[in-house]
Amino acid sequence: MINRYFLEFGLTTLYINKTKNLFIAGVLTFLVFLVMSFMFISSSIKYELKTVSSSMPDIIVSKTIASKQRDIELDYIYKILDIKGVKDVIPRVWGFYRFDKAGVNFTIIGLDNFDYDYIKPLKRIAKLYNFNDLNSSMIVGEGVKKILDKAYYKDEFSFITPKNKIKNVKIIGEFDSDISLFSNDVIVLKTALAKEILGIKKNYVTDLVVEVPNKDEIQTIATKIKLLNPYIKVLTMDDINQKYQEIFDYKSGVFLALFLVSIFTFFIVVSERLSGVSSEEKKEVAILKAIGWKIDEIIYIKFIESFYVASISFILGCFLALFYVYVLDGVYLRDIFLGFSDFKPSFEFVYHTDISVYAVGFFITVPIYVASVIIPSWRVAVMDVDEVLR
Amino acid sequence: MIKIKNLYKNFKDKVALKDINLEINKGEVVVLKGKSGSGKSTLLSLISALSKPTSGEIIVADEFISKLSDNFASRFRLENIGIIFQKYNLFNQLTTFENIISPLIPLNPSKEELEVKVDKLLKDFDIEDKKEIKVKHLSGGEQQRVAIARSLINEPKIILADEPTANLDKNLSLEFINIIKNLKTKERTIIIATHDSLFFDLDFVDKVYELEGGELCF
Repeated sequence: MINRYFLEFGLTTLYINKTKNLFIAGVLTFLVFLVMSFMFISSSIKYELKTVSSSMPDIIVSKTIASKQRDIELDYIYKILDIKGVKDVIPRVWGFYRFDKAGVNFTIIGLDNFDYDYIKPLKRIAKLYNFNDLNSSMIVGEGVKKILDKAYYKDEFSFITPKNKIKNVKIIGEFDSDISLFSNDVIVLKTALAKEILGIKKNYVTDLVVEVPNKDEIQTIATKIKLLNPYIKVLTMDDINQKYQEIFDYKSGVFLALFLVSIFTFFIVVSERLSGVSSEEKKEVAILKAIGWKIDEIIYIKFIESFYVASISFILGCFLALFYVYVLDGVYLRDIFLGFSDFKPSFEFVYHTDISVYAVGFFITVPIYVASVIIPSWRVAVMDVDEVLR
Repeated sequence: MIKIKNLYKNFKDKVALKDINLEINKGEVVVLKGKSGSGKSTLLSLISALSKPTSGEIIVADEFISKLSDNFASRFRLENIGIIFQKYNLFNQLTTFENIISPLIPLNPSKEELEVKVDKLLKDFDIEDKKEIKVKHLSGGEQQRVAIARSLINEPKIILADEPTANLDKNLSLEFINIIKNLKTKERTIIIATHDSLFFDLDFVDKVYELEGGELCF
């Protein structure tokens, strides 16, 4: 039978070292908050990247001369289609447009109704808008719309083409894709208009997307395409996933440094606890022993005390992290993870976390703290407490 | 009730107790007198099994307590001994009630049983109105009564008091003496270590032992 007096007494005795317990609870809460924020953000981004990568084209073919990407001739479509195992080759027109006033880059995508589904996350646009009406107008991502609104481009935006001409384009819609990280900085235009703004010649496109039904053949076909021309650069789905992962790993590394500093602080607190027990704590253990408590009962009450502190800190830290990441949108910390382009996308973290994330956070904080309390208490409990009580 | 044979206790090179032999019967009130550092508190500590002798035997309630392990010693104290410390050794941040019940917590008593016992003790020591007050807010005399109540909650056969009146004025000391007198009527064996002369000529005290330099003087 559970001894409820132990549970009540454990809670009550927290008052004996109220200030110290409050300080430790504060440090623990902050640590849990940092750990869980990192885990929530990383699991959100991983989910996002996984979703994006699942809709990646099988192969992207572009042209690179002197390490610089150049536009590719449309003729390559037929050459690639001749390779066995290729189902389709779709030309893509896209590029970056620098908006100096806001100091950001927009991603321009040329899209016509006949090829609108080559980027699956943007499929919804096709359902929402009639591309025949697009002509000299555009659909913009949520983040782009906010920036243009701030710069007073409410209904129309003036692009400056490479020929130094102003091209006014009406904003006819805003979209928010399921994948906000992907679509946030995107501007969708008719292919011809996109080419004019990006300065792409008539028979050229930015790159080509190759569809391969048999995924096992992707690597072989990629090698064959590469052999068509030494200037051709071939990227497979795996290459792109790898690149995303590298960016994410780098960002995680930056955070890891921050995280290690906080872990270090936590271990200083823990080692301080392990190395010495305050006279108040010694006295508390000695009194319990003197009034007839056995060593295991003293350890048990210390376990309950520390478990209360650690658990409350863990729960509080988790709630703070949830609030910070999903309500405050991870302000400041998001820059570490997402600030890899000039464009600061208003990407919203989507809650996508399983129980293992909470379990990891729990096991790197609660048991360590509980042990840091129990071990010194045990040391005192097995000592001759006579001197402490006098 | 208590038999001590050839008891020695050393602290490193210092001899704290030397060849102590004494016998205390059930229901007796015994005063151990002596100056500070004479070994009174050390002897109480050994009788309560809070520390172990260097050599010799201590038999309390037919138990060789000098040979008990830490855990058995703790249970032995809980079942047989109530200790009143000079500095009370209460949990100051806790209430009177929480302090008094603290020895019984490991035994998981029923709530009703606990309430009855505590209420009786609070009434006996006239601190009923202090039940939910934190000990740190009580006066010295009230704190001592809480300490006595705590030492009696387990209904011990033996009560050990170490310099119980050291922090009390004369009136409160006399009040404490009355409490002890009352406890004697309940067949409790009481040992008081003190240098307070108020205890030396009390009619209900059965024996007075004097300790000097760790030795008993008769």
